[in-house]
Amino acid sequence: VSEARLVQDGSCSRAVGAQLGDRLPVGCAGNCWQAPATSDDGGATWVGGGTVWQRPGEVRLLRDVGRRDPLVPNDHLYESLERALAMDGAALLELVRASGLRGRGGAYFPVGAKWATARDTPAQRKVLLVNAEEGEPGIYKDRHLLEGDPHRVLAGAQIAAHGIGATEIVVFINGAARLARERLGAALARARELGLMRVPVEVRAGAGGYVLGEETALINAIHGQRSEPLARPPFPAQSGLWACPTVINNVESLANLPDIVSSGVEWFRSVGTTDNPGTKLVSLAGDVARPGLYEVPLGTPLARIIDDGGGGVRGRLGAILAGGPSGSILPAALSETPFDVAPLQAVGGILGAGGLVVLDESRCVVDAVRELVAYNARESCGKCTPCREGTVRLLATFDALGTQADKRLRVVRLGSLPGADPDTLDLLLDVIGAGSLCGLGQMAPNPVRALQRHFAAELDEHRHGTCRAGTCTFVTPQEAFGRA
Amino acid sequence: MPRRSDNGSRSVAPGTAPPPGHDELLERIHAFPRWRSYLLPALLLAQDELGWLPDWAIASIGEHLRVPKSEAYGVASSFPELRLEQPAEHSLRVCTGAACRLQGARTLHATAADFPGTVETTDCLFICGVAPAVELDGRLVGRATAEQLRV
Repeated sequence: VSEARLVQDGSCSRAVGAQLGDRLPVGCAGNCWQAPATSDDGGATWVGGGTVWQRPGEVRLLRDVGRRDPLVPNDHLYESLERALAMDGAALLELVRASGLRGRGGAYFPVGAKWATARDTPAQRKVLLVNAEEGEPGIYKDRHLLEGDPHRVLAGAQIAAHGIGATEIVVFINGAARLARERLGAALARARELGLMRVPVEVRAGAGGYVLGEETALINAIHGQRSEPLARPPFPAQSGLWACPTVINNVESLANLPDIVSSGVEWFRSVGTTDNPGTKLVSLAGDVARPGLYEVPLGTPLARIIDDGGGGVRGRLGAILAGGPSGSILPAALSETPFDVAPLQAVGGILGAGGLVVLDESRCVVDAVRELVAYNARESCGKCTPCREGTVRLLATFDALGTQADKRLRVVRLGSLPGADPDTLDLLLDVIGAGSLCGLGQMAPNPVRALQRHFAAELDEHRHGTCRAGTCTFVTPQEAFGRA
Repeated sequence: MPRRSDNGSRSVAPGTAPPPGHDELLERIHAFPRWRSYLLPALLLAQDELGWLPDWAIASIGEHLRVPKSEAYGVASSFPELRLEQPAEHSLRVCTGAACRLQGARTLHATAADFPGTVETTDCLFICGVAPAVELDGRLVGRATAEQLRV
């Protein structure tokens, strides 16, 4: 097989029945919309779906994705690992701390600080838990990395283990990410054969659950307990998996490490913002010409991601869903907001795991947010009352019949329901946000608050039974319950 | 869950004895170290083999891993992807995530009304780039059309 003649072989292309032919199968370079796509020049140019796409030159994490056989160990990655292993663990930690790398799972906690807590906690046994759960709707970045360049993640995990002083690595991978798990397993087997895995690696699969984004819930799942969060402290870095100091790092965070080791702190900080350097993977979907996975420097304005990466909006930009079910909905007027933690926070949003769903102006923003509210209500684990009851109540204000069990597609019925008035809604949001044990509940009010803040007129129209998009229908509670 | 009867012999609660013909699965369950940490891996194994988790599977796993049946059930019921009810022979899951909804997931779901099997919606199938997506008998289908929703 020629190294130049490639065929895209990822979850997206498999789902549209791609034929591999006599080409070398490689991971999807992020050009999901082209699927099934092929390249004749080693992955620089991709042809598919009647379009030709030049992959952007300056990418870091996606450098080898869609370029080469994902299962063949990549020399430059393992040379970085060698280099890291030649360093003192504490010096490696200082290097990562100096790089300013922040956790890419959504919380953006400084990676070095997390490592230091575990490193400084005395224990014989320490664990690096690789979070590949990635259960947030609309986010598929970790899958892409694992499908397209699993050795990058493995090398990164080994580097991290050295910096932490970890004696074992556990990878917890989303149960539905079958291709990613298969490729990771195959890559791991090869790396083991070649003696590249210094710290033993165990792979565990999950079975869904947004609440697993909470570190302690993830640990519970591996312990064979219900996937529910625990109160903190103790923090996992002090006492986590099997009561050992445990660092939980996201796949994307780890994928940054080989380059930080080989190219240095200055190189890493040369893109992104001072406070949050480096690049970020963006899962871009919705009403854009080219939905797919993109890598952009942190701080890139949202509009540029949509235009340069996504090829612009189909129709006119109406709103942007940023940060998933814990995130927010932003109006077109805020499309110049930089894609970074602080600027998004300033407008009531979160960066989260880096998902953007673009809505053109024909879409109903209230309906879009109702879906996020419904999702949070379904995924609430039920452990603490403000979240368990509050998210369901919140959904009920959007939907006369909204109950946790109801997964049918529904229309928005804000109507004149009790609880839908602004004051009661505010109180409910306050209680959920302030009273919940973990991030799921604490951030569940975010999309609704964004709706109140940026789309007050649309929200109010729905209270009075009109939807300017014309996609919501309204019924009275009497009609909904089938009684006069 | 096996329990001790008065005379010390083991009896099995109704509905939790493995039906015949699952020796190989039971053997594989028994190959797990008898440690609670393997509860989720064992449940996933059983679901992969059986398509869902009948009571006897949960009970057998619990017994092997020394986890009370109530707790094994509690864990199984806390994971959305674990099935505690037997699905029909054919299954269809329509993704209703944000991107798929924009590409007509609602209509797709409505047209699936006469699908001969279990029809569910799911929050995301994680192939948003080729929306709308469905999972038909465990196989992902991107840019799904109403014609494709047949078995």
